[in-house]
Amino acid sequence: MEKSIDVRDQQTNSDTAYDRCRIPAADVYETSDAFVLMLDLPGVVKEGISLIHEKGELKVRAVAAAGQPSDMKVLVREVRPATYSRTFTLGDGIDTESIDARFDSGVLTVKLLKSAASRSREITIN
Amino acid sequence: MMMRIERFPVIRPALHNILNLEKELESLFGTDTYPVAPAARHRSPLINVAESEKETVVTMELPGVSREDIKIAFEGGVLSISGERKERQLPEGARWVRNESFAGTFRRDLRLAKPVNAGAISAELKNGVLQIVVPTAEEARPREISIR
Repeated sequence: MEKSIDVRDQQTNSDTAYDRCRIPAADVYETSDAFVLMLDLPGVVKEGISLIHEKGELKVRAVAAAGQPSDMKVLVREVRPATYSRTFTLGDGIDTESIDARFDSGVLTVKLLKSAASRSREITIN
Repeated sequence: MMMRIERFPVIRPALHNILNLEKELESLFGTDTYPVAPAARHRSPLINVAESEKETVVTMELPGVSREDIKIAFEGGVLSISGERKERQLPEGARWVRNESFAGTFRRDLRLAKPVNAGAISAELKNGVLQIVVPTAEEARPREISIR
């Protein structure tokens, strides 16, 4: 886990292609009435995120804000400018009219409520 | 409950298959268009380092990490960034469908080439990115000598 980098040994890399695509890590949990999707989008501002629901798919696209000023010399570049993109196929049991999304600390959280018919419920025994 | 399960016929590198097999098996949520292991799942958070004459700027990707869980130290020319991304807590009665994000401790040590003004190191955490600005020591900055 520990990693040491000697900055002096790094090569300068001036590759600045913006068309790279990154697949953000996703966590999804299910409750009795919803699915909650959490995507890691570090370096993105809220305004840079597009969340589109179309034809049973939820498409997330986000552009990371510019990094270091271009007049600086790059010593280490593990993160390149890129567009985050990931598409999820939604099942029939999602109420697509009530998708709620918020963005905090580089994490996009999307709450997908289950449609009434697909919620689990306890049946009272008469 | 009716959830549609779809799988796209995709060819993935063998390593991804091994890493993701368990997750793919338990996936009921649906299938991603690109079901490959996300690059973000690293134990060492990714960094960029850039420098100018005045300063060295280190940025580290730490989505979902709170300020209190990050420790920055500078000693013997080495900048250490360590901390923990806490495991996400499931609400009661909930279950994971997919769990790809990194959780656990991390640490990265960077040996900086130039003498620095350690007292003036500053750090900011914004939108899941930690940015540390390390000013170069005055005596190490290039300066122009005026000719009399």
